[in-house]
Amino acid sequence: MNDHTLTAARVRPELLALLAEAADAPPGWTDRVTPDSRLDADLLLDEGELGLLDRLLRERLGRSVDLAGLRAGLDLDALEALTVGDLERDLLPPEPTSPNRGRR
Amino acid sequence: MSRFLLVVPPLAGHIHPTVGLARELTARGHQVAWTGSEAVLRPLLGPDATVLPTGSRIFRAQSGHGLGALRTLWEGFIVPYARFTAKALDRVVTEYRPDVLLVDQHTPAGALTAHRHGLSWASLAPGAMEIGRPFRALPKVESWMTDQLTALWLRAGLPPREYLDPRFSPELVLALTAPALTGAEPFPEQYALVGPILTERPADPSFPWERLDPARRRVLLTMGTLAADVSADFHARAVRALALLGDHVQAVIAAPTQSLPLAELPSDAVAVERAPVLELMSRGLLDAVVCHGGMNTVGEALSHSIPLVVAPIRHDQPFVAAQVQAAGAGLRVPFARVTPPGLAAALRAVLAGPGDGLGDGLGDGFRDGPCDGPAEGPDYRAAAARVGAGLRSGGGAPVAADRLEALAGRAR
Repeated sequence: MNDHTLTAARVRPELLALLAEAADAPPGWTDRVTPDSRLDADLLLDEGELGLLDRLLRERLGRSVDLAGLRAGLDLDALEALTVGDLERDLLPPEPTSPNRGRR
Repeated sequence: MSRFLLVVPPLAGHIHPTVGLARELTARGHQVAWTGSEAVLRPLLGPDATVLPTGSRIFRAQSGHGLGALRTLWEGFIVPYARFTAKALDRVVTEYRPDVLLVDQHTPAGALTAHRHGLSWASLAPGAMEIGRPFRALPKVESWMTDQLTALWLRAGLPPREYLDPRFSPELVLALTAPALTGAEPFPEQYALVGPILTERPADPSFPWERLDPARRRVLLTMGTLAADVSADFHARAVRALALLGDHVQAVIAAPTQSLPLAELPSDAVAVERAPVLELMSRGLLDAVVCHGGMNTVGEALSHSIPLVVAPIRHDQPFVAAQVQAAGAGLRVPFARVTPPGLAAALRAVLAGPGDGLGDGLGDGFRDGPCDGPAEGPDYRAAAARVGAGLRSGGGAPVAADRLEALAGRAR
């Protein structure tokens, strides 16, 4: 698990892009996606779309970014509660730091 | 002669296929009775059917999306309905003395009752929900479902060591689908994939056949009878999409009037509460179907070589939609997010055969949009015909009846 934390209500652009691709979403859809957005009840991603998101995450961000493995370990309550912020915290590698970009 | 008892939930989509199966069994000289909610069964089956009532109570079988809908299905319907009907089923079986019970997967109490009485039972899988194990990637969700079935088993006073999954008879599972729609996973030998059992649903008797224009392509929009809670917004987008297709396409819409944006309906659209779907299909009057991925509608469309655009809402529907798209017999679009231009593009794609030039008349920018391929794109109609042939090869009601007769023969 990564030790970086979310301190502002924005989602990392690389994850937003993959969410939009997996959701086959229209332009502007990502404007409403926040770290608190639940994959199930808020973004309405079904099992097929989550399967595609898992594949995209592995292809684009590395084989260790294992959404399917994360979800396989969760019960129904936890799956319903799973948020975009959870994916950032539990799956994505830490954001690279740069002089012009501090931690969120 | 054998006596068959059909244990069905109060869900029209689950009851309709049993009508064709019962006709086949009755024609062979067998006795057939249904048991369930007479208030739901009688209008669908007519006055002459034998209905052994279990009582009626309102259950919320379908609502919402995704995992929330799965929870509602089990906690709001499958489990309480099993508890509600348990005693009545026991009485029905004692009095009717069936040779075989055919038990819908959504009514596990029927399997528990059969086991208690030492009777043979077959499972009926009208959809792909359990057959394809759509939650196989989520073992704790599968365990959650099993826990609920185990609790029902114990509540029925059956010995724990004898537990059988009441969704899957060890003797016969009749599935109204075909390998093209279930994926490549092999099935145990007691599974019979017989394809759809085509049974016309009650339709609006005043359907305006004279308004159908033979010179135009016709697209049926039907999102099922149980999706009214979430379909209004989709209907609005779908109506706009159909309008984008221009004058060469006529929309046939089966939906509650209150869920449609009446002011936006194209003037030539035919909108009714219940359309004679099978008759429209069998008379060659439909060129494409937009639906939610319910197995009945998908099976019926493909059996008539009609390609689909599937906007799945919940349960097995995303799984079915993925299989339709993988088979090349249609396209999947996101129910909650597809835009009118996106849906129109998907419809244009499935309506146009490669190189037939028909796309040229289907509104401006026919080849534009997210679902477009090259000018020589996939031939969805040909794939639908191929998958449909596979569905029909399952044998439908006659093969299902053969299997039930064989089970009854072994039971004697």
